[in-house]
Amino acid sequence: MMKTRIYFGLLVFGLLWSWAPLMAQADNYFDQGKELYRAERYHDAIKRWEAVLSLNQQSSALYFNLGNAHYQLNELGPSIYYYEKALALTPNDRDVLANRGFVQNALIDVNQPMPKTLWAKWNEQVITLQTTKQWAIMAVLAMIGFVTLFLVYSWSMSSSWKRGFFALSMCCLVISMCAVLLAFKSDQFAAQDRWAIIFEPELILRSGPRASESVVFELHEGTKVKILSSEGNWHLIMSQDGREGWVLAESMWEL
Amino acid sequence: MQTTRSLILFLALIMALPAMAQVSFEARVSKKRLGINERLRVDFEMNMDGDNFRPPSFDGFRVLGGPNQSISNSWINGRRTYSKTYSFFLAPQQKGTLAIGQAVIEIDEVLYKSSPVSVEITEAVQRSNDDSNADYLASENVHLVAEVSDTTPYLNEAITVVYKLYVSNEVSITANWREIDAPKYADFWSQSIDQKGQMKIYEGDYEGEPYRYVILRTTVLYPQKTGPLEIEPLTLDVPIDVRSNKRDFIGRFMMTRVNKTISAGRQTIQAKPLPLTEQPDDFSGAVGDFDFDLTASKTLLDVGESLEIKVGVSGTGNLKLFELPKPNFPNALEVYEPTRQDKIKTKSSGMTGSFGQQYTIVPQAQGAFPIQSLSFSYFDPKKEIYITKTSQPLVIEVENGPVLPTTLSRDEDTETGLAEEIPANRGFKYIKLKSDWQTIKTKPFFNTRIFWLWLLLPLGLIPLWYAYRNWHAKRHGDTTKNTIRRSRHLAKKYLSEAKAQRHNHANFYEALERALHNFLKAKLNIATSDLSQENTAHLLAQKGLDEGVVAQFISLLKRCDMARYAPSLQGASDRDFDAARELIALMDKQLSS
Repeated sequence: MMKTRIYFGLLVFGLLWSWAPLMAQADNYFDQGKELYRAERYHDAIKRWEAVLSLNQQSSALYFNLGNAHYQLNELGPSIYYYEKALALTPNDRDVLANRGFVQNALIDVNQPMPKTLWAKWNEQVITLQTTKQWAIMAVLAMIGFVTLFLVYSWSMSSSWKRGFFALSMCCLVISMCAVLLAFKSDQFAAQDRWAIIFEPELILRSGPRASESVVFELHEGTKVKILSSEGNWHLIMSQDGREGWVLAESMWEL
Repeated sequence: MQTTRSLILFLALIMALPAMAQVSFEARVSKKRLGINERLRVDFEMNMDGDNFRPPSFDGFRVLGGPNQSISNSWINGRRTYSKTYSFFLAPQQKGTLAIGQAVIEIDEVLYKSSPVSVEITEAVQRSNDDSNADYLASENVHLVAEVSDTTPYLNEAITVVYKLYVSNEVSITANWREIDAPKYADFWSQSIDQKGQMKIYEGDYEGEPYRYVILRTTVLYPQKTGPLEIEPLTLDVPIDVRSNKRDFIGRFMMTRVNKTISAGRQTIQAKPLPLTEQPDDFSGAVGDFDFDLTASKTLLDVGESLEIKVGVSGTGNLKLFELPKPNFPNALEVYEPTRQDKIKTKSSGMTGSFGQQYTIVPQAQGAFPIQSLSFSYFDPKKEIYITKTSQPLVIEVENGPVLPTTLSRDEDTETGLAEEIPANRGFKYIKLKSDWQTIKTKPFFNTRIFWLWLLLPLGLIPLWYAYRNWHAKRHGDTTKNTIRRSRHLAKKYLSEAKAQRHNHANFYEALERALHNFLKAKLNIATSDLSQENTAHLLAQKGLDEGVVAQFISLLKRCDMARYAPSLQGASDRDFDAARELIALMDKQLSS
């Protein structure tokens, strides 16, 4: 017992010891970037903030600032890319939505998403209520609840208590199974829900994953597209208005 | 002094007199060079009357006519001019240089000889004609020539065709000509530069002889195809004034007007294709030397104001014949159809000037709108390389106005309620000043081994719990609680009927006896027929039951038997039921151990 306590203490200490300076460093870079941005040295500000990313640290604020800096440099593709990243972390951030609106105005293609069916919308809403990890944790917690309640049920003598605990335990089991199902769905959805931002000023989409294939249509920088599948170095993408075509993977950044 | 001058004058007059009276006898041919199918006229002319004319032999010729004798005698200002001519018409019989020999005449008893003349006879010419034919003269002395500046141009490289009308000094053109057939230049883009007003007359050479010429027309051609291309001839109907042999009353030659159809011969141009190697992607067929720019009338304005953006090319080359690059405009700028602006002059060197497209733009939302730089490629036929020119990128700043475009509504925005919530003049947000960090790469939890362990291990607790409880019960098997539960179970199994009949005396004992028999049958595996009391006692003893228990069991059976016929006390049945219950439990335990 004493031994485990020591190990646990060491672990916490180790984590703090490795985390704290990392966070401090990230804050340091972040503040330097702020100063550079204020001085309109946007290139340098971007470098600072990207240094934070290389520390494996991220935040919605950081992505938002990167988006702003790129917008100031009229680099629409990276700007949209970072705003989308920020929105992935904080989907309803008003500032991000507002500034992304500015960039979207300056894009060549109109990002008008396809209307979805009511079922698809509802399905997506339910699945994206929580992340896959959260669904998984929920499944585990509900399972533990089920087992506990079941044991209590089998232990208790009185039939009315028994009935109550049994019903509760079954509820927990159903919740757990639903959560596992939703975690699977969410995992699958996340695997399918691949988006990318185009970085080429003019991107030609082809009918097959080869440069010799015929041109289907073209998209421009900053347009958000869905990646449907990949073949070697090529992605089959779908634009927001539902047209499909193949492009080289390096012409866009996956979100 | 006076005398010397008069003397010299006199001497000169003396000297001149015999010269005036000098006899001349010469041979003249109508042309020195003729086709074998043409005719030649030879005149032997003398200025004094002679006799005994002896013509030469005319070797290589056939004499068609002659000698025809003609005498002209004229007095002008008291001076007599006399000429006597013998003419022959000859047809050459062989090609090559033929000599016409000497003719002999006797004048005043002196023999005079003409000098020999040599004539070159060539291949048969298309139309034999003789000297006096005005048509022939006209065709010999007027030529239309198309001069092509370059017969091997690149595709779309300008070449010029200059039509020159050469006129020799023999004939003159005083009236206007008429164009019969203008070339169509099917495989070219063409532009003719017609000479306006008075034509300038130049002096020049045509096949080594002095000619005058005028430039009729200059045409600039841009080949639109590669390979051999034909330039059709230009055909003109030209009125030509030719001097005829007739004279007017004062002795001048009369001019006859001949209408002649002359044409510049066909020309073939070999148009070279543009090199395919290193051809830029954005090349759209421009050949020449150009400048390219992208300009905006203003770059700072408010929503609703308009600006013009112009894509322009200037220089020399096939302007108009290629596509201008189209700029891509941000979606929140309303762009109207471009207007073309051409300022092109066609010179003999090709088209020069500027050519552009002007877009009128009305921004619909505020913000900064970058317009990507455009590139324009052309082929320089002089340097024989492709040149790409890139414009500066433009940024249009729109200051005041709504954030969201008024013409476009985004589903996403209306969904999130952004459209309503962002007030019209809320500008671009400043950066955020605080940040909470989180690691970028979080380890996946779902579908890992740990996840499944966490999910399924608790389930394993349930069978474990039951297993533990069984083990525990076995370990504490002799506890009264256990016994009670077992006897309760057995009684429930065998004595439930008897219990139900407890208040009906006769039925109770009947049910009790049946229950006891059933118990024995189940435990000892025997049929009912064998269940006599002695037999039962014997069997139970064999199974190793206690003597006392067996005796009690037998006595209970006996009591049941008796009670059927002799009613006993009311309380006995309860006592017997309890006894039966205890006995069954005891026997069951002893039998199964």
